[in-house]
Amino acid sequence: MILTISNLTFQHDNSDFEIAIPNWNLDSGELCVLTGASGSGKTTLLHLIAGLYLPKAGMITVQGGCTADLSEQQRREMRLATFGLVFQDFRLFSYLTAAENISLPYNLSGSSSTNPEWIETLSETFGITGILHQRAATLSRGEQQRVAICRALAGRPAFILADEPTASVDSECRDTILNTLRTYCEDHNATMILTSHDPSIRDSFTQSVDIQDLQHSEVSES
Amino acid sequence: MSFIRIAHRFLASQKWITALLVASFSGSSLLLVAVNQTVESIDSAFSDRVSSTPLIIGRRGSRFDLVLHSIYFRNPASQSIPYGELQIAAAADSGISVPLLFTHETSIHHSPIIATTDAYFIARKLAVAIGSMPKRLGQCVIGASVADTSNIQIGDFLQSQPKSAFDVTSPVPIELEVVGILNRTNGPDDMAVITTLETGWIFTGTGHGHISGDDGTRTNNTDGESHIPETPITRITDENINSFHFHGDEKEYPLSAILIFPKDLQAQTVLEGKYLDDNNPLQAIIPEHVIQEVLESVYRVESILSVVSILSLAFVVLMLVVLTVLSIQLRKQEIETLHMIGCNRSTTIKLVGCETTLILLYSAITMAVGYILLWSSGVLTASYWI
Repeated sequence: MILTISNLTFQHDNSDFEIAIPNWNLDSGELCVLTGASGSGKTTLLHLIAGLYLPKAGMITVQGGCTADLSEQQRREMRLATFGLVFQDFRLFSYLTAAENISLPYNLSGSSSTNPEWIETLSETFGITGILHQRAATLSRGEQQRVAICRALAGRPAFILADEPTASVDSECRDTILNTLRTYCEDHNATMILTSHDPSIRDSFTQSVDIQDLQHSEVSES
Repeated sequence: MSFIRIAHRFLASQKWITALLVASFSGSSLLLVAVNQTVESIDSAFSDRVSSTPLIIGRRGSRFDLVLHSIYFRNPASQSIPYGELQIAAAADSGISVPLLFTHETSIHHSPIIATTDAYFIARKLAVAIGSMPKRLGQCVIGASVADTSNIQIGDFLQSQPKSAFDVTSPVPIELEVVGILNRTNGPDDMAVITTLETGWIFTGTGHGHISGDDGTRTNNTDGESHIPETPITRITDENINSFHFHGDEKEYPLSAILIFPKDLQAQTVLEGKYLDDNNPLQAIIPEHVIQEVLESVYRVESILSVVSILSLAFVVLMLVVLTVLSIQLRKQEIETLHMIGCNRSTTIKLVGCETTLILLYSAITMAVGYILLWSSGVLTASYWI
């Protein structure tokens, strides 16, 4: 198992909203689409898995290691080495070029997990070769989204956490993104959890889970 | 891609704020440095020159103007003093008396033409680097800076013109033959052209020459019957030098000032005493005292400017701190993203540190460029202000 969640509860400070997941496991190479209404906690769950938040109770184990037992530095290293994160709002640096955004985490961390050839391959796959030297601020939303996905894949992660990666693109581009992510996972035996509102993409995944179904029946969103 | 490059990109995206910070930093620092340097330069120039000139005799009036005129060759004297005063001082055996007559300048570079005697070279310890001292009527030596800036060679001729462009009564200017170039002194002599006292009197019309067959036009003036040449000579040569002569009483020939280098304090005190009477149209001044009064004003101005520049620098530092804090607040999401994608907390500190360092570096470069420009334009030197 690459991911094991058991008896997880989490609550943001100063908020009544709570996530409670009794049990959930994912094997390596599984592709999971996580659905659910807005505000149901999909993004929060992804952040918990990535070690950005720590559970209030219970345990999240990634590649055999419990996130709560890791120091902040170790969780940071885990994110850099294991996870590819795609954010809902892209979180690109507007004053850097697309190419600089893609290689940013690895350059700033002094990591050698990526190389120019791999980034070039990703750029070609996502059709952003022509915009690599444009500043992120000048790109369209669709282009920004593709750059954000490239950044997530630049370090060849074993686990992709993609938060609504197809929300801002047309259906053709959506299919390209999904196919590329799926192909990547197949080629690298990587696991992916992708959140989406789009029911039509469920068929592309080995597992489709509604976050409400994951949660304890007694816990609900207020 | 390094931290420096990212920091540079961020600053470039905020170019107006960056430019304002850089301009403020470099401007206030440059002001502080420039003011201090200029004041030091003025102080040094004033002190060196005036301390080597114990006493000046000139027409009563502004003491500062007399110092500027006779030591720094600025502003021609509004009124002359008679040559007889020099003879009186010399007869008193009070020390070395040096006559100065400064009425003209060179027509191209506007270098002051100082007419004097060999005593000036002795008193100022001036020697020629190339050529010889002026001995004959119409000869001159030029200062080192004049030679550098004008590319004038020995044997060249310099056209003279009255210092005051409105002096229509001045005789036709003559050309001066350059016979020597003085050693550099880093003082006003570097910028001057020095000729014989007699040549100075030709400038003022006290003397003149005639070309062969020109007996001149007879005139009657206060000095009695005289004459002026029909065709003025503009260049003194071996052929016409013997035709030059002077009119009137030698004691009344004009000087603009007399520099006195007394042999001792007693001689200086006696000389000063002779000119204490307010009814005496002449005055004797100690330039060091005059300059001290001026420097006190300069130091007051310097203190004010220094306080202003230190305050503005402090304000800019405060502005940088505030902008850095604001920037961190405004870039909270950016910093959070760095953390989320796996960057260390120290990455943020390094990035902000790089940005601050770059602003300081740009400011230092701007300040250095500004300093070089000021230095090359001569604004930081005393000669620009005096």
